Amino acid sequence: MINSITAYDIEAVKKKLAVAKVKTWYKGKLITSDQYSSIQTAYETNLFSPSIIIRVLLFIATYLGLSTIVGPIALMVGDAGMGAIRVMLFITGAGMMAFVERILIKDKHHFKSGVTEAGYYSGLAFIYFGLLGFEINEPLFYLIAALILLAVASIRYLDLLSLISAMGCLLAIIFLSLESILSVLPFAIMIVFAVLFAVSQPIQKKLDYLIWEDHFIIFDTLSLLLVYLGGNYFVVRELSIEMMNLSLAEGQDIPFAFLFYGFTLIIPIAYLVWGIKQKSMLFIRVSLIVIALSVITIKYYYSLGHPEITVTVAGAVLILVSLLLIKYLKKNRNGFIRDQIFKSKWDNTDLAAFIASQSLGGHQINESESAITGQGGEFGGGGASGEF
Amino acid sequence: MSNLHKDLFDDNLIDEKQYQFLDAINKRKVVSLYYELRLLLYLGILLFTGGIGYIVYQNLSSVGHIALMFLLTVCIGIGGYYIHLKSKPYKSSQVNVEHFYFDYVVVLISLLIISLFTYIQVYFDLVELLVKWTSIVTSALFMFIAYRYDNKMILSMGITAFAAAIGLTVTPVNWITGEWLSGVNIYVLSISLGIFLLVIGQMLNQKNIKKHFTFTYHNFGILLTYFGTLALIFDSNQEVLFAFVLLVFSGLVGWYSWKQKTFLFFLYSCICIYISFTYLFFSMGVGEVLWIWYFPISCILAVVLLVKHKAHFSND
Repeated sequence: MINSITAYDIEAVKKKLAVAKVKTWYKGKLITSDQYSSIQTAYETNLFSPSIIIRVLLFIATYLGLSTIVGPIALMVGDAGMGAIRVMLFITGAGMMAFVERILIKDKHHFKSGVTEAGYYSGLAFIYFGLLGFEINEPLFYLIAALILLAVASIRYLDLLSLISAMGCLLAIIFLSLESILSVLPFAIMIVFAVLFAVSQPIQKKLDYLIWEDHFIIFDTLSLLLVYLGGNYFVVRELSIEMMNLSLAEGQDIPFAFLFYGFTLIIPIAYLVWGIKQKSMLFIRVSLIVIALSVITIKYYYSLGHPEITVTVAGAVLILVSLLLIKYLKKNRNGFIRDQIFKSKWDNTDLAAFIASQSLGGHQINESESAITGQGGEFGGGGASGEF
Repeated sequence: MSNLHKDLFDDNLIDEKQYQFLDAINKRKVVSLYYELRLLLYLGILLFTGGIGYIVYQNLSSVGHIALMFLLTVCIGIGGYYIHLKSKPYKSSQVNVEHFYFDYVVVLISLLIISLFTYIQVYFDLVELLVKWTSIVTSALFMFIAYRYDNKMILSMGITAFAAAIGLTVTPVNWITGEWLSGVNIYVLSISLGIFLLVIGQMLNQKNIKKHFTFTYHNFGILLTYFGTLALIFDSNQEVLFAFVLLVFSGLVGWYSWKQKTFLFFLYSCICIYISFTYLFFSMGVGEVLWIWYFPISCILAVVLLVKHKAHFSND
């Protein structure tokens, strides 16, 4: 099974993640503090997994330390030429990986401690460049190797950043390999990621939910977004102009324009309807993003010329819609409720306050210029409400 | 799928009722839209107040100015009435109004009051006359609302408005792109405001006035002080002196935040300690060999030191 590929003690990880999940129940006042502490005791592990801030600190320090080792290496073997540097890179990388696997994970029970991530990122990068070197004239080759490495890392170390990068590599591979037949590119992207999404559904039912939940949330979200972006009119049009040197005269349109308009309009609505029907938060959240993107797309080509009015009206509509929904969902409607069930681990009033002070203004009042440019990019997002 | 709640129920760690509820959530019989609704509302407020600000500066054809001001006043009136209706009396401890969007309405109304205030200034040509006072008034109003209705978002905005009043732009975006207003004075101003905020935060904390606001004061205070001193190192003639000052100051803050387990401040401090120490180290004039080994060795030493004390921070 896939669990045996992972580097960690999977039973311990399960317990750790179970406690993390129970903590959101406790913060959401679903269970009492006595229950919470007895669950904590029952699921105690010896894994070392510090809070996010300490993780960031450890990551920065380790990463800076390990990646600057290149300096001394180059100094020692620099005269012997590229081959020697590559061999040294490979040996250093392999040494780092062995250290991460044997000492950190096996002996010291590190689990996503920041040190481990920095260790295997730099170790893998050293091995990668040690093996491939820098002189192959085939970008596709580098991309495929990176995709394999990242995919393995994302499973073996349960690493989410590797997963995201792997999907980025896949996208780049599709782009590069279809360079000569660009007209099928949008369809290829839509089909590949739709198929990947479909394939991932039965798989995730079989796997351990606690461990792989985040992986599939990211995988599914990115797949759905890419299916949409592959067919989005703005993306297709601008990329056609950019990549095929297509020059469109006044009144001219890209081939199959009607199809891409159709995708731009239908996919967001389809996501939303499906999300509500299936009560799938994933679809609902993605649909909110793509609705906003569709409104921006339409507004970009058919603007009324007064962005300030669009923004204000969009904002007013959004406020009204959300207030009405909040009123409507006071009761349980078809299973949808407005109240909080779990307290998200990202829910932090201090952070929210800081973001508010940076986005909502107050300080910009004297500076008319910055107030205007600062908010300019955002107007389309609000238009979302129009259709919502 | 997740059977954690079943396992817990089997082990008698949760009771029947809780199990049923968690099972209903797991089977998607109950879905919460809490965060989505709040996000929509927040975006709405962001766009609406941003748009109003836009309109004020865009100077549309003058028809409708009065009407718009009137509309704003009506909105503020309605919102104010709602706030008055739902709010609880002032207390020095945390006051939670158990109402879904109370906090957001407070933010919306505060911003609309500011919009109206700005509108009136522009309309009656008072901008030049009042330019120095706008931010002060804004800040005072925000501070009053923040304390009266217990709202951290408004408190943060009040602090940034106050910084604007004395001539500072408190946004990381500007810090990152290096768009500091030039001149050493501004850095000194930033450090003074930072220390002022730190002291105020500490005083209010000790007097038990809105203890949950302390973090906000300290966060802005520490950031302003650190950025001001860092900028002085790179932008003044006395870089060694300021590097030393920063090293001592961030060392103290780092030590204190380590004791208090406020790890965000500890993170800021570590970064500043490292930068200032590195600066001092290299300003002593070291050779190439030392230079190349410095970063790997110093960083790995720091990691080893931190991990050795993991008992201090692993428990959460």
